[in-house]
Amino acid sequence: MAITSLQKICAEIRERWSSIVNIAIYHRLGAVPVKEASIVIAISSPHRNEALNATQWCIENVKEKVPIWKKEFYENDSSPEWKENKEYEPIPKPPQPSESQEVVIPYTPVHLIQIKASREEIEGRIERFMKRKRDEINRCNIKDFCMRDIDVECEESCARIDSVLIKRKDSKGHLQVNRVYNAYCYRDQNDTEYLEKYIPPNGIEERVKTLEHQLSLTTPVPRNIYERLKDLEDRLLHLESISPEYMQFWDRDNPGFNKTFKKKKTFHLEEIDRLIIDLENKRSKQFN
Amino acid sequence: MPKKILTCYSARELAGCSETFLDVEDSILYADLLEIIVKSYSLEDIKNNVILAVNEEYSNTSERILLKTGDEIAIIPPISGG
Repeated sequence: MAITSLQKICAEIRERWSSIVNIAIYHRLGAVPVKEASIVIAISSPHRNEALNATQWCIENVKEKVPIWKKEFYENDSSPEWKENKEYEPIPKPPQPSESQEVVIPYTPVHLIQIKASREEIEGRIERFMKRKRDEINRCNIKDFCMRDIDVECEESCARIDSVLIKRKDSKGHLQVNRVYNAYCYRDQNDTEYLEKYIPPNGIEERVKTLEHQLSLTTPVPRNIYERLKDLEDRLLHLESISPEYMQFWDRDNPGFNKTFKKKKTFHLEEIDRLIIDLENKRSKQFN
Repeated sequence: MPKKILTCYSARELAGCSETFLDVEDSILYADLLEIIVKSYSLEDIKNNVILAVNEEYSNTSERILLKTGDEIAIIPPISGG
């Protein structure tokens, strides 16, 4: 039974701490002289935290559940004693029958009692007070958020579903656009446990795929991850450049932006002739 | 039907034997079973400190225990290993 208990404890350790690699529990049997250890527990894991916690949990449970007993013998003592662990308690305790508690009320003079109402009446009063408060809050919400008269009774309405969006002061539009400067980079990825738990093994691939789907990049994507990222960035920049919400970020110095169309100059035949003659004169002067 | 009773350590000294057989019903409440065992082996001194294990499995003290011939019931006094 001791071995089955130990195996159960091992199984539970692996269930509680999934990163545990090896577990070794060694318990001495027979006479153990004073000063010598009776138990060795060794647990290994990639990080020390899990192993240390598991070891502590392990020894507590071994002492509590594994049926191994020790008897202390003293010199010149004819009656050796069985030891009991403080962890021991006859596990599953029988449920105590719930007794209705009788409250003993000391004698109090009648003139000192302030509230003489019965229990039902006090509970009723508390109930009515809570209802009144709830109605009050509801009325305030209707006044604040719903554009309708409070006195008009409406069965199928409440402040939560009936509210109207009121434009607040200094709000430019319904879409909030922010630019975030992330100075730390990957700031929520320090916790490795979080990474293992929530990001699947092929997390990057999945994220890139989702992004491509979201941005409707349906054409076959290049193999190279950097090319794929470049495509995503280009697509995002394009979308931003055509969305009015991002107007405040448009680069007005960019020559590509606001291209003013220049009309080409047209010449008459005589003018062209004159230009040619001028040019010829210039050239002939140069050569002479 | 006879069931095998194992006694462990301090219970063994009180009962005066380590292994014996006892005739109990096949379906029995934990409390009743404990009562019978305590009476049969004069274990009154440790009655409130022991737990019974059936076939190497701690039994639930509030439930009915189902037994069959050849089952092992162990009397587990307070554990003190480690």
